[in-house]
Amino acid sequence: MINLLKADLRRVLKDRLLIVLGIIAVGFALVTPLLYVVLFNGVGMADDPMISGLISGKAQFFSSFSMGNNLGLIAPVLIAIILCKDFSYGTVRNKIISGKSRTAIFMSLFSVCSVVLIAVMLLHAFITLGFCLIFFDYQATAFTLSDFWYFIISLGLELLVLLFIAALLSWLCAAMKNVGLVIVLYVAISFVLVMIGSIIQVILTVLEASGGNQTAIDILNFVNRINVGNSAQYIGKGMEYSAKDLLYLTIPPIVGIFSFLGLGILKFNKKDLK
Amino acid sequence: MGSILTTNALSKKYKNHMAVNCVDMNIDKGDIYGFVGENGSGKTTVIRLITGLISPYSGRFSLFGVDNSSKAIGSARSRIGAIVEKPSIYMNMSAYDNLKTQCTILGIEDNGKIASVLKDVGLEAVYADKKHASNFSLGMRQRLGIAMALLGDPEFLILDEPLNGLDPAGIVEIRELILKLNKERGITFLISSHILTELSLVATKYGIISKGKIIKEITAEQLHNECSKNTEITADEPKKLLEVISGIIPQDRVKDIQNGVRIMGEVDLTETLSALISAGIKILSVNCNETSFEEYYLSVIGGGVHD
Repeated sequence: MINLLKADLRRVLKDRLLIVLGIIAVGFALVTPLLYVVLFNGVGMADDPMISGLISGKAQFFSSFSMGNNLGLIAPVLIAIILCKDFSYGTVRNKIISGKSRTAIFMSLFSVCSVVLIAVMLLHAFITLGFCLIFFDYQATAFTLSDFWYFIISLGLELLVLLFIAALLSWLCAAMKNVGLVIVLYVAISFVLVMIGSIIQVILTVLEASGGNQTAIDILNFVNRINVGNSAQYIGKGMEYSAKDLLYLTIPPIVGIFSFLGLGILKFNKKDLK
Repeated sequence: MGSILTTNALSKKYKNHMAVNCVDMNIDKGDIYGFVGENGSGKTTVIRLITGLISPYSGRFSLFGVDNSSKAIGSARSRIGAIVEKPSIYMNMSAYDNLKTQCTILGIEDNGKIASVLKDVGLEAVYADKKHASNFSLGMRQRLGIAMALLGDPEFLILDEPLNGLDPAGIVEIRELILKLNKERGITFLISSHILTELSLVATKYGIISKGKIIKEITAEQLHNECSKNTEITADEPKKLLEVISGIIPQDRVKDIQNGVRIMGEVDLTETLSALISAGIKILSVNCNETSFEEYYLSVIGGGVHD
């Protein structure tokens, strides 16, 4: 397994597409805060307290992890292209012929996918934060020790979501016949998850404002809370997490990770390789 | 000699199509097994089954004495090297990086190994070359694929159409490499190829597959006997002809055919015909034949000239 991991990391690091992905990650991190500055200064709203809350370093940092955000979509797609080269070039056969188990090959694929995705998203998020801090504050209030722990917990929750995405991608890479299908399905799944979150949010707002059926509100709230694609709505958006918040933000991605890994291992062990 | 590979009623079904149907074959240590069959006959499917790329529909095989259903099949597989259909190489990496990655998978240190296998396959010039494999010719990729397969010091090398894309000089080099590795390192080979004449220069045993079934396994010696020169003589009195011929030619070289005999191998025609004329036999025809491997193969798969 260690040898497979080393080999997979080696070939991923040798891929020029990873450099392209790095450039895109840094580019987005630099451009997004600048756009906010230009946009809000342009309309004279930079000092509006509501706007300053929206474009704080903290808000920008955590929203840069979002699945529906620019890099949140591009990074998994490019990583899928890099990972699927093992199948399109037929090099995965070298691993099987060398006597490596299919489970180990799949787990190595997942591990490398996770490492690369997390590295790219962290690079993007920290550059975004660093660049944002030039123009905006981290948050409207002073940064305390509890804010530090909130930041660390939020970061951990974001990493869990990234592992969920890596498991989903790995499953798709192992199950599908070509990279095109992997990309189409990944984009479709992530869009559906994000869209469901947004639509439910709108419905909830309407229902709550109009004093709608409480059971319906509770069900929709529950669906929204367990929707991993909607986790950007909850991670890093407050000042602290309740125990219930933490359960909602950890159990669904963990269940998803184990489900996708299980499905991936099952599928890959039965897959006929050309 | 120990058996390296034995298959027992090995079959593979894709939907409603039986790609490989009850294949029984045996490869002993030191063999160079020529695997021959028309396009779509099931050669590559058998190779995929052995290398673990696909799972059997039914039947079994054992590799180095390890059954395919055993958990130890992985470690048995680590003793083989293979090219299946096309070389498995990263097109976006140089030859060195490809080999280095394979070293990592195998858990071996380079220690001059990469330079050595590149030299073996005649690619020493690309050792320090940063050129990506996507810019290599088909022949160079094929050689790189063989170099990758050689990295783990395999005891059993499976080469699926290894001569594809090679120029005549390359074909000679690969042939010599196969013979050298077989002789010096005792590597056993399973080679599938359409180039029968080329295969006949290295193979010690053949398996002929057609429509998913092994229809003949034959040693090189047996094949030589089947294909060697022969002379067919027909006469008005076939029984008498057989009697006379059996008196002057060893019996194992004489075969009874319609209206005459077939004498295998070289024959002194002057002496033989004189003996027949002296015996008062009226000779109707004399034909000197030599069957090529291709003709033999076609006759075996049912489309040829061999009777």
